[in-house]
Amino acid sequence: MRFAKPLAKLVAEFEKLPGIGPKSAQRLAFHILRISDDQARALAEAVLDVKERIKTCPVCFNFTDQELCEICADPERDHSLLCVVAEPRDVAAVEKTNEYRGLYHVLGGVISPMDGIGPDALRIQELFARLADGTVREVILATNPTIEGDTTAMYIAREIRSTFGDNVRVTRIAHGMPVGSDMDYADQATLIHALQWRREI
Amino acid sequence: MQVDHICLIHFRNYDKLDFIPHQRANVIVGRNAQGKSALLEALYFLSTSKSHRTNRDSELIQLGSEYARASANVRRETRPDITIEIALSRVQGKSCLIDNKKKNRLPDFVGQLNVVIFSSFDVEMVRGEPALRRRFLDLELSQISAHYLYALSRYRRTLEQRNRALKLVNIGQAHLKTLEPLDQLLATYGASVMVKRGEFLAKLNITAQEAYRGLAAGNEMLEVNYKPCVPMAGGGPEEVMRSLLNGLAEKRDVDIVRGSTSIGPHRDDVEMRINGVGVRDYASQGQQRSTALALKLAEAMIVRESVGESPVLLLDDVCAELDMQRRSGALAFAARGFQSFVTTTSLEELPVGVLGEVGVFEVSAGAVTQL
Ligand SMILES: [Zn+2]
Repeated sequence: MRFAKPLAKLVAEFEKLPGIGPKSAQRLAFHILRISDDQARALAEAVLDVKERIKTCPVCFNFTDQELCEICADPERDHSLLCVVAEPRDVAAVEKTNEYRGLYHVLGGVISPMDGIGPDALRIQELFARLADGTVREVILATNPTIEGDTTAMYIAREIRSTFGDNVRVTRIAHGMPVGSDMDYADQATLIHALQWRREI
Repeated sequence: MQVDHICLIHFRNYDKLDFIPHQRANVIVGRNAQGKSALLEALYFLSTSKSHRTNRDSELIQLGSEYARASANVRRETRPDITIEIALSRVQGKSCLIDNKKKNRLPDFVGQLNVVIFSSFDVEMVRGEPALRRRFLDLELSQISAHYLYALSRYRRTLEQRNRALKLVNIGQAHLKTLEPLDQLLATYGASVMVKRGEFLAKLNITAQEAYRGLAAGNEMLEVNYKPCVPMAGGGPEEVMRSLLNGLAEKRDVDIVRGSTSIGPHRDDVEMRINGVGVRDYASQGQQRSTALALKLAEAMIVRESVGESPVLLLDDVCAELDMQRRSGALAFAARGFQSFVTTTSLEELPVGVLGEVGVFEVSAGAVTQL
Protein backbone atom coordinates (compact mmCIF):
# COMPACT_ATOMS: atom_id res chain seq x y z
CA MET A 1 0.00 0.00 0.00
CA ARG A 2 1.26 3.48 -0.83
CA PHE A 3 0.48 6.40 1.50
CA ALA A 4 -0.46 9.95 0.58
CA LYS A 5 2.71 12.05 0.50
CA PRO A 6 2.47 13.91 3.85
CA LEU A 7 1.58 10.68 5.62
CA ALA A 8 4.45 8.81 3.94
CA LYS A 9 6.80 11.56 5.05
CA LEU A 10 5.66 11.30 8.68
CA VAL A 11 6.08 7.51 8.59
CA ALA A 12 9.58 7.95 7.18
CA GLU A 13 10.48 10.41 9.96
CA PHE A 14 9.24 8.08 12.69
CA GLU A 15 11.24 5.26 11.18
CA LYS A 16 14.43 7.22 11.74
CA LEU A 17 13.84 7.14 15.51
CA PRO A 18 15.70 4.54 17.58
CA GLY A 19 13.78 1.34 18.24
CA ILE A 20 11.02 2.20 15.75
CA GLY A 21 10.51 -0.25 12.90
CA PRO A 22 8.28 0.23 9.83
CA LYS A 23 5.23 -1.21 11.60
CA SER A 24 5.52 0.97 14.69
CA ALA A 25 6.19 3.99 12.48
CA GLN A 26 2.93 3.41 10.63
CA ARG A 27 1.04 2.88 13.86
CA LEU A 28 2.38 6.15 15.29
CA ALA A 29 1.58 8.06 12.11
CA PHE A 30 -2.01 6.77 12.07
CA HIS A 31 -2.29 7.68 15.71
CA ILE A 32 -1.24 11.26 14.91
CA LEU A 33 -3.97 11.39 12.23
CA ARG A 34 -6.57 10.46 14.84
CA ILE A 35 -5.59 12.96 17.56
CA SER A 36 -6.97 16.49 17.74
CA ASP A 37 -5.24 19.45 16.07
CA ASP A 38 -4.38 20.86 19.50
CA GLN A 39 -2.72 17.66 20.58
CA ALA A 40 -0.74 17.50 17.35
CA ARG A 41 0.37 21.10 17.73
CA ALA A 42 1.41 20.50 21.35
CA LEU A 43 3.55 17.58 20.23
CA ALA A 44 5.19 19.52 17.40
CA GLU A 45 5.88 22.47 19.71
CA ALA A 46 7.38 20.21 22.38
CA VAL A 47 9.76 18.78 19.79
CA LEU A 48 10.87 22.20 18.62
CA ASP A 49 11.01 23.58 22.15
CA VAL A 50 13.33 20.88 23.35
CA LYS A 51 15.69 21.56 20.45
CA GLU A 52 15.68 25.31 21.05
CA ARG A 53 15.82 25.47 24.83
CA ILE A 54 17.69 22.43 26.06
CA LYS A 55 21.43 23.01 26.30
CA THR A 56 24.17 21.22 28.15
CA CYS A 57 25.20 22.58 31.53
CA PRO A 58 28.69 24.13 31.13
CA VAL A 59 29.79 22.61 34.45
CA CYS A 60 28.43 19.05 34.59
CA PHE A 61 27.28 18.62 30.96
CA ASN A 62 23.86 17.36 31.97
CA PHE A 63 20.90 18.68 29.95
CA THR A 64 19.35 21.88 31.24
CA ASP A 65 17.15 24.78 30.19
CA GLN A 66 18.97 27.15 32.55
CA GLU A 67 22.37 28.80 32.32
CA LEU A 68 23.57 26.45 35.05
CA CYS A 69 21.64 23.21 35.65
CA GLU A 70 19.40 22.90 38.72
CA ILE A 71 21.71 20.43 40.39
CA CYS A 72 24.88 22.48 39.93
CA ALA A 73 23.04 25.63 41.04
CA ASP A 74 21.60 24.06 44.20
CA PRO A 75 23.57 25.26 47.27
CA GLU A 76 21.90 22.55 49.38
CA ARG A 77 23.69 19.82 47.50
CA ASP A 78 27.04 18.47 48.63
CA HIS A 79 29.61 20.15 46.39
CA SER A 80 32.44 17.98 47.73
CA LEU A 81 30.92 14.86 46.18
CA LEU A 82 30.99 14.15 42.45
CA CYS A 83 29.30 11.27 40.65
CA VAL A 84 30.80 10.53 37.21
CA VAL A 85 28.40 9.00 34.67
CA ALA A 86 28.51 8.23 30.96
CA GLU A 87 25.27 9.83 29.74
CA PRO A 88 22.64 12.35 30.92
CA ARG A 89 20.13 9.50 31.27
CA ASP A 90 22.38 8.03 33.97
CA VAL A 91 21.96 11.23 35.99
CA ALA A 92 18.20 10.73 35.84
CA ALA A 93 18.63 7.11 36.98
CA VAL A 94 20.71 8.04 40.03
CA GLU A 95 18.41 10.98 40.87
CA LYS A 96 15.42 8.65 40.87
CA THR A 97 16.86 6.79 43.83
CA ASN A 98 16.62 9.98 45.97
CA GLU A 99 19.69 8.77 47.81
CA TYR A 100 22.41 10.89 46.31
CA ARG A 101 22.95 14.52 47.34
CA GLY A 102 26.19 15.37 45.53
CA LEU A 103 26.91 16.74 42.05
CA TYR A 104 27.43 15.02 38.69
CA HIS A 105 29.81 14.95 35.79
CA VAL A 106 28.59 13.60 32.45
CA LEU A 107 31.40 12.15 30.33
CA GLY A 108 29.41 11.89 27.11
CA GLY A 109 30.29 8.23 26.52
CA VAL A 110 32.78 5.56 27.52
CA ILE A 111 36.21 4.53 26.27
CA SER A 112 35.82 2.03 23.44
CA PRO A 113 38.75 1.56 21.04
CA MET A 114 36.54 -0.57 18.77
CA ASP A 115 34.29 2.45 18.24
CA GLY A 116 37.27 4.78 17.97
CA ILE A 117 36.43 6.46 21.28
CA GLY A 118 39.47 7.29 23.38
CA PRO A 119 39.73 9.34 26.59
CA ASP A 120 40.17 12.54 24.58
CA ALA A 121 36.74 12.14 23.03
CA LEU A 122 35.18 12.28 26.52
CA ARG A 123 34.89 15.17 28.98
CA ILE A 124 37.75 13.95 31.10
CA GLN A 125 39.82 17.13 30.84
CA GLU A 126 36.78 19.06 31.97
CA LEU A 127 36.49 16.69 34.94
CA PHE A 128 40.07 17.39 35.96
CA ALA A 129 39.51 21.11 35.61
CA ARG A 130 36.64 20.76 38.12
CA LEU A 131 38.80 18.82 40.56
CA ALA A 132 41.65 21.35 40.43
CA ASP A 133 40.26 23.82 43.01
CA GLY A 134 40.08 21.21 45.78
CA THR A 135 36.34 21.52 46.56
CA VAL A 136 35.61 17.96 45.47
CA ARG A 137 36.85 15.41 48.04
CA GLU A 138 35.30 12.27 46.62
CA VAL A 139 34.64 11.05 43.09
CA ILE A 140 32.19 8.19 42.61
CA LEU A 141 32.67 6.42 39.30
CA ALA A 142 29.25 5.23 38.17
CA THR A 143 29.78 4.09 34.60
CA ASN A 144 27.96 0.87 33.69
CA PRO A 145 29.62 -2.45 34.54
CA THR A 146 30.42 -3.26 30.90
CA ILE A 147 34.01 -3.77 29.75
CA GLU A 148 33.92 -0.24 28.34
CA GLY A 149 32.40 1.24 31.49
CA ASP A 150 34.97 -0.54 33.64
CA THR A 151 37.82 0.53 31.37
CA THR A 152 36.67 4.13 31.66
CA ALA A 153 36.33 3.95 35.45
CA MET A 154 39.77 2.41 35.85
CA TYR A 155 41.34 4.91 33.51
CA ILE A 156 39.88 7.87 35.39
CA ALA A 157 40.74 6.36 38.78
CA ARG A 158 44.38 6.00 37.79
CA GLU A 159 44.55 9.50 36.41
CA ILE A 160 42.99 11.03 39.51
CA ARG A 161 45.38 9.15 41.75
CA SER A 162 48.42 10.19 39.80
CA THR A 163 47.31 13.84 39.66
CA PHE A 164 45.72 14.41 43.07
CA GLY A 165 47.15 11.59 45.18
CA ASP A 166 45.19 11.17 48.42
CA ASN A 167 43.47 14.55 48.17
CA VAL A 168 40.57 13.08 46.21
CA ARG A 169 38.99 9.81 47.23
CA VAL A 170 37.91 7.57 44.34
CA THR A 171 35.21 4.93 44.66
CA ARG A 172 33.40 2.70 42.21
CA ILE A 173 29.65 2.43 42.56
CA ALA A 174 28.56 -0.98 43.81
CA HIS A 175 26.59 -2.24 40.85
CA GLY A 176 24.40 -4.69 42.62
CA MET A 177 21.15 -6.44 42.21
CA PRO A 178 18.31 -4.77 40.36
CA VAL A 179 15.66 -3.91 42.94
CA GLY A 180 13.08 -6.62 43.55
CA SER A 181 14.94 -9.41 41.82
CA ASP A 182 15.48 -12.61 43.70
CA MET A 183 19.01 -13.85 43.89
CA ASP A 184 18.52 -17.00 41.91
CA TYR A 185 20.51 -18.39 39.04
CA ALA A 186 19.27 -15.63 36.74
CA ASP A 187 21.26 -13.07 38.67
CA GLN A 188 24.41 -15.07 38.81
CA ALA A 189 26.18 -12.89 36.28
CA THR A 190 25.41 -9.78 38.33
CA LEU A 191 26.54 -11.42 41.53
CA ILE A 192 29.73 -12.65 39.98
CA HIS A 193 30.40 -9.19 38.71
CA ALA A 194 29.94 -7.70 42.15
CA LEU A 195 32.36 -10.27 43.56
CA GLN A 196 34.89 -9.72 40.82
CA TRP A 197 34.97 -6.06 41.66
CA ARG A 198 34.81 -6.15 45.41
CA ARG A 199 38.43 -5.12 45.93
CA GLU A 200 38.80 -3.04 42.81
CA ILE A 201 39.63 0.70 42.72
CA MET B 1 18.93 -36.55 34.06
CA GLN B 2 16.80 -37.87 31.24
CA VAL B 3 15.21 -36.52 28.13
CA ASP B 4 11.75 -38.05 27.92
CA HIS B 5 10.31 -36.25 24.90
CA ILE B 6 11.95 -34.61 21.88
CA CYS B 7 10.08 -32.47 19.35
CA LEU B 8 11.65 -31.17 16.20
CA ILE B 9 10.05 -28.98 13.56
CA HIS B 10 11.87 -28.15 10.32
CA PHE B 11 15.15 -29.11 12.02
CA ARG B 12 17.76 -30.35 9.50
CA ASN B 13 15.94 -33.06 7.53
CA TYR B 14 13.19 -33.54 10.15
CA ASP B 15 9.96 -32.01 8.97
CA LYS B 16 8.18 -32.89 12.18
CA LEU B 17 9.35 -35.31 14.83
CA ASP B 18 7.71 -36.41 18.08
CA PHE B 19 10.07 -38.83 19.71
CA ILE B 20 9.81 -40.53 23.09
CA PRO B 21 13.21 -42.04 23.83
CA HIS B 22 14.07 -44.89 26.16
CA GLN B 23 15.02 -43.83 29.69
CA ARG B 24 18.34 -45.64 29.48
CA ALA B 25 20.05 -46.59 26.25
CA ASN B 26 18.86 -45.55 22.81
CA VAL B 27 20.44 -47.17 19.80
CA ILE B 28 19.68 -45.21 16.65
CA VAL B 29 20.34 -47.16 13.51
CA GLY B 30 20.12 -45.91 9.94
CA ARG B 31 22.02 -45.29 6.75
CA ASN B 32 24.01 -42.08 6.36
CA ALA B 33 22.23 -38.73 5.87
CA GLN B 34 18.92 -40.05 7.24
CA GLY B 35 19.00 -37.89 10.40
CA LYS B 36 20.83 -39.96 13.03
CA SER B 37 23.41 -37.32 13.77
CA ALA B 38 20.86 -34.52 13.50
CA LEU B 39 18.95 -36.05 16.40
CA LEU B 40 22.08 -35.94 18.58
CA GLU B 41 22.86 -32.50 17.24
CA ALA B 42 19.42 -31.30 18.35
CA LEU B 43 20.08 -32.46 21.91
CA TYR B 44 23.50 -30.85 21.91
CA PHE B 45 21.98 -27.67 20.53
CA LEU B 46 19.36 -27.61 23.29
CA SER B 47 22.10 -28.02 25.85
CA THR B 48 24.57 -25.40 24.62
CA SER B 49 22.55 -23.26 22.15
CA LYS B 50 25.17 -24.17 19.56
CA SER B 51 25.65 -27.00 17.11
CA HIS B 52 28.76 -29.15 17.41
CA ARG B 53 28.89 -29.49 13.62
CA THR B 54 28.43 -25.95 12.35
CA ASN B 55 28.85 -22.36 13.46
CA ARG B 56 25.99 -21.24 11.25
CA ASP B 57 22.62 -21.69 12.93
CA SER B 58 20.84 -21.22 9.62
CA GLU B 59 22.17 -24.61 8.47
CA LEU B 60 19.94 -26.20 11.12
CA ILE B 61 16.79 -24.92 9.44
CA GLN B 62 15.31 -27.36 6.95
CA LEU B 63 15.84 -26.31 3.35
CA GLY B 64 12.89 -24.31 2.11
CA SER B 65 11.67 -23.44 5.62
CA GLU B 66 11.75 -20.09 7.35
CA TYR B 67 12.13 -21.40 10.87
CA ALA B 68 13.07 -24.39 12.97
CA ARG B 69 12.13 -25.45 16.45
CA ALA B 70 13.65 -27.97 18.81
CA SER B 71 12.32 -28.79 22.24
CA ALA B 72 12.74 -31.44 24.89
CA ASN B 73 11.27 -32.36 28.25
CA VAL B 74 14.04 -32.93 30.72
CA ARG B 75 13.58 -34.91 33.92
CA ARG B 76 16.12 -33.96 36.52
CA GLU B 77 16.98 -35.41 39.90
CA THR B 78 18.44 -32.48 41.80
CA ARG B 79 16.58 -29.63 40.10
CA PRO B 80 12.99 -29.22 38.90
CA ASP B 81 12.01 -30.81 35.59
CA ILE B 82 12.00 -28.42 32.65
CA THR B 83 10.93 -27.97 29.07
CA ILE B 84 13.78 -26.55 27.07
CA GLU B 85 13.25 -25.05 23.64
CA ILE B 86 15.10 -23.17 20.92
CA ALA B 87 13.30 -21.38 18.12
CA LEU B 88 15.34 -20.40 15.09
CA SER B 89 14.17 -18.05 12.40
CA ARG B 90 16.02 -16.97 9.28
CA VAL B 91 14.82 -13.43 9.90
CA GLN B 92 14.62 -13.08 13.66
CA GLY B 93 17.50 -15.29 14.74
CA LYS B 94 17.48 -17.45 17.84
CA SER B 95 15.34 -17.54 20.99
CA CYS B 96 16.16 -19.82 23.88
CA LEU B 97 13.33 -20.72 26.22
CA ILE B 98 13.01 -22.59 29.47
CA ASP B 99 9.47 -23.48 30.50
CA ASN B 100 8.25 -21.09 27.80
CA LYS B 101 10.18 -18.20 29.31
CA LYS B 102 12.70 -16.53 27.07
CA LYS B 103 16.26 -16.42 28.41
CA ASN B 104 18.27 -13.54 27.05
CA ARG B 105 21.49 -14.32 28.83
CA LEU B 106 23.49 -17.38 27.89
CA PRO B 107 24.39 -18.30 31.51
CA ASP B 108 20.67 -18.55 32.26
CA PHE B 109 20.18 -21.14 29.53
CA VAL B 110 23.37 -23.14 29.11
CA GLY B 111 23.80 -25.88 31.68
CA GLN B 112 20.11 -26.62 32.24
CA LEU B 113 20.27 -29.75 30.11
CA ASN B 114 23.68 -31.36 30.44
CA VAL B 115 24.97 -33.49 27.59
CA VAL B 116 28.35 -34.94 26.71
CA ILE B 117 28.92 -35.78 23.07
CA PHE B 118 31.51 -37.98 21.39
CA SER B 119 31.86 -37.63 17.64
CA SER B 120 34.54 -37.57 14.95
CA PHE B 121 35.22 -33.94 15.85
CA ASP B 122 36.64 -35.04 19.17
CA VAL B 123 39.36 -37.06 17.50
CA GLU B 124 40.28 -33.86 15.67
CA MET B 125 40.48 -32.22 19.07
CA VAL B 126 43.25 -34.64 20.05
CA ARG B 127 45.32 -34.38 16.89
CA GLY B 128 44.49 -30.89 15.62
CA GLU B 129 45.38 -27.31 16.48
CA PRO B 130 45.43 -25.91 20.05
CA ALA B 131 42.31 -23.83 19.27
CA LEU B 132 40.27 -27.07 19.15
CA ARG B 133 41.44 -28.04 22.63
CA ARG B 134 40.63 -24.58 23.98
CA ARG B 135 37.19 -24.89 22.43
CA PHE B 136 36.75 -28.20 24.25
CA LEU B 137 37.73 -26.57 27.55
CA ASP B 138 35.40 -23.63 26.96
CA LEU B 139 32.40 -25.76 26.07
CA GLU B 140 32.84 -28.16 28.96
CA LEU B 141 33.55 -25.53 31.57
CA SER B 142 30.68 -23.35 30.39
CA GLN B 143 28.32 -26.22 31.12
CA ILE B 144 29.43 -26.66 34.68
CA SER B 145 30.45 -23.15 35.71
CA ALA B 146 28.43 -19.98 35.18
CA HIS B 147 31.42 -18.10 36.55
CA TYR B 148 33.60 -19.49 33.76
CA LEU B 149 31.14 -18.55 31.02
CA TYR B 150 30.92 -15.05 32.45
CA ALA B 151 34.68 -14.57 32.84
CA LEU B 152 35.29 -15.96 29.35
CA SER B 153 32.84 -13.65 27.62
CA ARG B 154 34.26 -10.65 29.50
CA TYR B 155 37.76 -11.80 28.60
CA ARG B 156 36.91 -12.02 24.90
CA ARG B 157 35.36 -8.58 24.82
CA THR B 158 38.38 -7.08 26.61
CA LEU B 159 40.69 -8.85 24.19
CA GLU B 160 38.87 -7.35 21.20
CA GLN B 161 39.10 -3.89 22.73
CA ARG B 162 42.76 -4.29 23.61
CA ASN B 163 43.69 -5.55 20.15
CA ARG B 164 42.01 -2.54 18.61
CA ALA B 165 43.69 -0.23 21.11
CA LEU B 166 47.08 -1.75 20.20
CA LYS B 167 46.49 -0.94 16.54
CA LEU B 168 45.46 2.61 17.41
CA VAL B 169 48.55 3.08 19.59
CA ASN B 170 50.72 1.79 16.76
CA ILE B 171 49.47 4.46 14.34
CA GLY B 172 49.61 7.16 17.00
CA GLN B 173 45.84 7.52 17.39
CA ALA B 174 45.67 6.34 21.00
CA HIS B 175 47.80 6.97 24.06
CA LEU B 176 49.69 4.17 25.80
CA LYS B 177 47.71 4.98 28.95
CA THR B 178 44.58 3.58 27.29
CA LEU B 179 46.17 0.12 27.44
CA GLU B 180 46.60 0.12 31.20
CA PRO B 181 43.00 -0.46 32.29
CA LEU B 182 42.58 -2.95 29.44
CA ASP B 183 45.64 -4.89 30.62
CA GLN B 184 44.24 -4.90 34.15
CA LEU B 185 40.83 -6.17 33.00
CA LEU B 186 42.39 -8.73 30.67
CA ALA B 187 44.55 -10.05 33.50
CA THR B 188 41.62 -10.14 35.94
CA TYR B 189 39.29 -12.12 33.68
CA GLY B 190 42.15 -14.07 32.12
CA ALA B 191 43.18 -15.25 35.58
CA SER B 192 39.61 -16.38 36.36
CA VAL B 193 39.56 -18.35 33.11
CA MET B 194 42.96 -19.92 33.72
CA VAL B 195 42.33 -20.90 37.32
CA LYS B 196 39.12 -22.66 36.30
CA ARG B 197 40.88 -24.40 33.40
CA GLY B 198 43.64 -25.52 35.76
CA GLU B 199 41.17 -26.97 38.27
CA PHE B 200 39.16 -28.68 35.54
CA LEU B 201 42.19 -30.23 33.88
CA ALA B 202 43.59 -31.50 37.17
CA LYS B 203 40.33 -33.38 37.69
CA LEU B 204 40.13 -34.42 34.05
CA ASN B 205 43.64 -35.87 34.25
CA ILE B 206 42.68 -38.25 37.05
CA THR B 207 39.32 -39.24 35.58
CA ALA B 208 40.64 -39.62 32.03
CA GLN B 209 43.42 -41.90 33.25
CA GLU B 210 40.85 -44.18 34.76
CA ALA B 211 38.58 -44.06 31.70
CA TYR B 212 41.54 -44.79 29.43
CA ARG B 213 42.45 -47.90 31.41
CA GLY B 214 38.94 -49.22 30.70
CA LEU B 215 39.41 -48.73 26.95
CA ALA B 216 42.97 -49.63 26.08
CA ALA B 217 44.71 -52.96 26.25
CA GLY B 218 47.95 -53.45 28.14
CA ASN B 219 49.37 -51.04 30.65
CA GLU B 220 49.17 -47.79 28.75
CA MET B 221 48.90 -44.72 30.91
CA LEU B 222 47.28 -41.47 29.72
CA GLU B 223 48.28 -38.10 31.12
CA VAL B 224 46.47 -34.81 30.47
CA ASN B 225 48.33 -31.61 31.36
CA TYR B 226 47.43 -27.97 31.20
CA LYS B 227 49.91 -25.89 29.20
CA PRO B 228 49.06 -22.35 30.31
CA CYS B 229 50.31 -19.32 28.41
CA VAL B 230 52.20 -18.04 31.45
CA PRO B 231 53.56 -19.83 34.54
CA MET B 232 50.77 -20.09 37.09
CA ALA B 233 53.01 -20.10 40.19
CA GLY B 234 50.90 -20.94 43.25
CA GLY B 235 47.86 -21.10 41.01
CA GLY B 236 45.58 -18.68 42.89
CA PRO B 237 43.75 -15.93 40.98
CA GLU B 238 46.02 -13.18 42.37
CA GLU B 239 49.24 -14.91 41.39
CA VAL B 240 47.95 -15.76 37.93
CA MET B 241 46.74 -12.20 37.46
CA ARG B 242 50.16 -10.86 38.36
CA SER B 243 51.82 -13.37 36.09
CA LEU B 244 49.56 -12.26 33.23
CA LEU B 245 50.20 -8.58 33.92
CA ASN B 246 53.95 -9.20 33.81
CA GLY B 247 53.61 -11.11 30.57
CA LEU B 248 51.46 -8.38 29.00
CA ALA B 249 53.96 -5.70 30.05
CA GLU B 250 56.89 -7.69 28.70
CA LYS B 251 55.25 -8.27 25.32
CA ARG B 252 53.67 -4.86 25.04
CA ASP B 253 56.05 -3.50 22.41
CA VAL B 254 55.76 -6.62 20.28
CA ASP B 255 51.97 -6.58 20.68
CA ILE B 256 51.76 -2.96 19.54
CA VAL B 257 53.70 -3.72 16.37
CA ARG B 258 51.62 -6.85 15.67
CA GLY B 259 48.34 -5.27 16.65
CA SER B 260 47.38 -8.35 18.64
CA THR B 261 47.80 -9.74 22.14
CA SER B 262 50.37 -12.52 22.41
CA ILE B 263 49.82 -13.44 26.08
CA GLY B 264 46.65 -14.82 27.60
CA PRO B 265 44.41 -17.86 27.89
CA HIS B 266 43.55 -17.49 24.20
CA ARG B 267 47.03 -18.99 23.69
CA ASP B 268 46.66 -21.89 26.16
CA ASP B 269 47.01 -25.52 25.15
CA VAL B 270 46.39 -28.95 26.63
CA GLU B 271 49.04 -31.64 26.33
CA MET B 272 48.19 -35.34 26.25
CA ARG B 273 50.73 -38.11 26.65
CA ILE B 274 50.58 -41.89 26.62
CA ASN B 275 53.40 -43.46 28.59
CA GLY B 276 55.16 -40.13 28.38
CA VAL B 277 54.90 -39.77 24.59
CA GLY B 278 52.90 -36.93 22.99
CA VAL B 279 49.54 -38.17 21.67
CA ARG B 280 49.12 -35.41 19.11
CA ASP B 281 52.33 -36.12 17.19
CA TYR B 282 53.41 -39.64 18.05
CA ALA B 283 50.44 -41.81 18.97
CA SER B 284 48.71 -44.32 16.69
CA GLN B 285 45.25 -43.52 15.36
CA GLY B 286 43.78 -46.08 17.74
CA GLN B 287 45.49 -44.39 20.69
CA GLN B 288 44.31 -40.98 19.54
CA ARG B 289 40.74 -42.24 19.33
CA SER B 290 40.95 -43.87 22.73
CA THR B 291 42.32 -40.64 24.14
CA ALA B 292 39.46 -38.60 22.67
CA LEU B 293 36.89 -41.04 24.00
CA ALA B 294 38.56 -41.22 27.42
CA LEU B 295 38.44 -37.41 27.64
CA LYS B 296 34.74 -37.43 26.86
CA LEU B 297 33.91 -40.17 29.33
CA ALA B 298 35.97 -38.38 31.95
CA GLU B 299 34.08 -35.21 31.20
CA ALA B 300 30.81 -37.05 31.77
CA MET B 301 32.08 -38.12 35.20
CA ILE B 302 33.09 -34.56 36.04
CA VAL B 303 29.76 -33.15 34.96
CA ARG B 304 28.02 -35.81 37.04
CA GLU B 305 30.11 -34.84 40.04
CA SER B 306 29.77 -31.07 39.72
CA VAL B 307 26.11 -30.89 38.67
CA GLY B 308 25.08 -33.69 40.99
CA GLU B 309 23.38 -35.78 38.31
CA SER B 310 24.31 -37.72 35.21
CA PRO B 311 24.51 -35.87 31.91
CA VAL B 312 22.97 -37.39 28.79
CA LEU B 313 25.61 -39.22 26.74
CA LEU B 314 25.62 -38.78 22.97
CA LEU B 315 27.84 -41.21 21.09
CA ASP B 316 27.82 -40.40 17.41
CA ASP B 317 28.87 -43.11 15.00
CA VAL B 318 31.21 -44.90 17.42
CA CYS B 319 31.70 -47.74 14.92
CA ALA B 320 33.44 -45.45 12.46
CA GLU B 321 35.82 -44.18 15.12
CA LEU B 322 36.45 -47.12 17.40
CA ASP B 323 37.36 -50.80 17.13
CA MET B 324 35.15 -53.48 18.70
CA GLN B 325 37.00 -53.56 22.01
CA ARG B 326 36.75 -49.81 22.45
CA ARG B 327 33.09 -49.82 21.38
CA SER B 328 32.38 -52.29 24.16
CA GLY B 329 34.29 -50.10 26.58
CA ALA B 330 32.29 -47.03 25.57
CA LEU B 331 28.93 -48.78 25.82
CA ALA B 332 29.82 -50.40 29.14
CA PHE B 333 30.57 -46.93 30.43
CA ALA B 334 27.23 -45.62 29.13
CA ALA B 335 25.48 -48.40 30.98
CA ARG B 336 26.79 -47.00 34.25
CA GLY B 337 23.71 -44.93 35.00
CA PHE B 338 23.59 -42.60 32.00
CA GLN B 339 20.80 -42.04 29.54
CA SER B 340 22.55 -42.50 26.22
CA PHE B 341 21.96 -42.02 22.51
CA VAL B 342 24.21 -44.14 20.31
CA THR B 343 24.10 -43.94 16.53
CA THR B 344 25.27 -46.64 14.16
CA THR B 345 24.88 -47.57 10.52
CA SER B 346 24.55 -51.25 11.37
CA LEU B 347 23.35 -53.15 14.43
CA GLU B 348 25.79 -56.01 13.85
CA GLU B 349 28.73 -53.73 14.42
CA LEU B 350 27.51 -52.64 17.82
CA PRO B 351 27.81 -54.83 20.95
CA VAL B 352 24.28 -53.81 21.96
CA GLY B 353 24.10 -56.43 24.72
CA VAL B 354 26.61 -54.44 26.78
CA LEU B 355 24.06 -51.64 27.14
CA GLY B 356 21.53 -53.66 29.15
CA GLU B 357 18.09 -52.04 29.00
CA VAL B 358 17.82 -50.55 25.53
CA GLY B 359 15.43 -49.10 22.98
CA VAL B 360 16.39 -49.61 19.34
CA PHE B 361 15.12 -47.12 16.78
CA GLU B 362 15.51 -46.82 13.06
CA VAL B 363 15.92 -43.45 11.39
CA SER B 364 15.00 -43.15 7.76
CA ALA B 365 14.42 -39.93 5.81
CA GLY B 366 13.73 -37.90 8.91
CA ALA B 367 11.34 -40.39 10.55
CA VAL B 368 12.04 -42.45 13.67
CA THR B 369 10.45 -45.87 14.22
CA GLN B 370 10.96 -48.28 17.09
CA LEU B 371 12.34 -51.71 16.13
ZN1 LIG C 1 25.27 21.11 35.89
